[in-house]
Amino acid sequence: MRELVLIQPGRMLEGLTAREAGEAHANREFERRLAECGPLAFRVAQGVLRNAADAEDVAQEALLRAYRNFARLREPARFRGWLVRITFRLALDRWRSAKRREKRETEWMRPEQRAAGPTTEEVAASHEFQERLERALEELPEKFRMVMLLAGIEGYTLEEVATTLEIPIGTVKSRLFFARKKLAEKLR
Amino acid sequence: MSCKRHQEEINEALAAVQTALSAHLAAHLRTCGECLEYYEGQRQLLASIDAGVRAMVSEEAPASLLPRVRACMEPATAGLKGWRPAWFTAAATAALAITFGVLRHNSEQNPLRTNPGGASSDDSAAAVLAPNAPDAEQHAVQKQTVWKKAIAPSPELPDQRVEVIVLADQREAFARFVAELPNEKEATAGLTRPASEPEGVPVEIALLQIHELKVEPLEPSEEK
Repeated sequence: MRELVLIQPGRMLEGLTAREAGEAHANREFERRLAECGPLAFRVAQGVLRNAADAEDVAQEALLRAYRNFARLREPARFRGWLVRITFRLALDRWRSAKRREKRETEWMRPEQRAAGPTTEEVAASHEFQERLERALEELPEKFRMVMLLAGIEGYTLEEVATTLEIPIGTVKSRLFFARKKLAEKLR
Repeated sequence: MSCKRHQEEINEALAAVQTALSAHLAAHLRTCGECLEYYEGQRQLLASIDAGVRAMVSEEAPASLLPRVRACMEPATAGLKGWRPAWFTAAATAALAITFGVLRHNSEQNPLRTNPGGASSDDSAAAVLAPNAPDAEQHAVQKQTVWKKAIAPSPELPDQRVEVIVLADQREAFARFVAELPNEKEATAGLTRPASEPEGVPVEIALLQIHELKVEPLEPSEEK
């Protein structure tokens, strides 16, 4: 006898399964990027904010934004560049608002209540230099500052900086030259 | 060339990345103590700048960073997953509502029930099943007339939602289609309202005719 087979259509179920599989794959992929680029985001934020707690908050926010935009950031180089730029921008926003708050509070305080400057001789020269360097960095235009910070990350080559920022390596070198020259002028 | 010009050149050379001193500057440094001292000072300054920047960006990311991100990711994912069934339920509900509307509309406008000639459903079925019967033509004409009435726009048609029966495997596609309907007013009207036909125009419905019907017994399978 010939057999007649009735096939129950299960396209919807198959579709859901495929979608779930796709989501799981995307999550695994993002997890890999998270482990790879999470520390980079933190370092960029730390370079701008110089406060670990604030930098962690900013890095977290940047990574979550990357997660939400992951569909269009699958390419690794593009993901890293996007993450660095968004982290830098978020960190700058936070830094600026902190500066504004600090300024308001400083203006509000009477002169005798203001924090006293370094009066002891124990203040290390290196510490002073670091503070001056931080101030000088803050005065640099953003694009030079970002190149300077990225180039400062250990193990990060100029080629990687160029790839991350999606600019030619010649531009990276010229920005780095300008940034170092300006910093040296200010700290000389 | 004066020492001042040489010192400017030193600044440029040190600020540049991966650039060696030019031959004439190197020769000058070998002979000029002041410029050599300036060079060493500037070299140290640039090295301190680089070291200072490195110190700013070399702090290890705290161990809590990635778990914090993951913790925030989970609700976002759960939110997305929760949203999908909600959307699907809404679409399925809409499809069911349309289905019931159609059924009710059909039952209210059922030609077999509203037939003034009193033709029963059995009679109609007989007409279809036995088209060669003597009164088949008369039944067909009756059916055509009644069908015409059924699909004609009714001015007293209540504002009811039309419903559509959708197969289980086509629900998702239909739900997507229904979701897009608000932007397609003409398509919506076409789906949910009977076609407007002027009264009195007969609708032609061809009867199914089977000229030759061959019934063969089932063949036994080769497999045992």
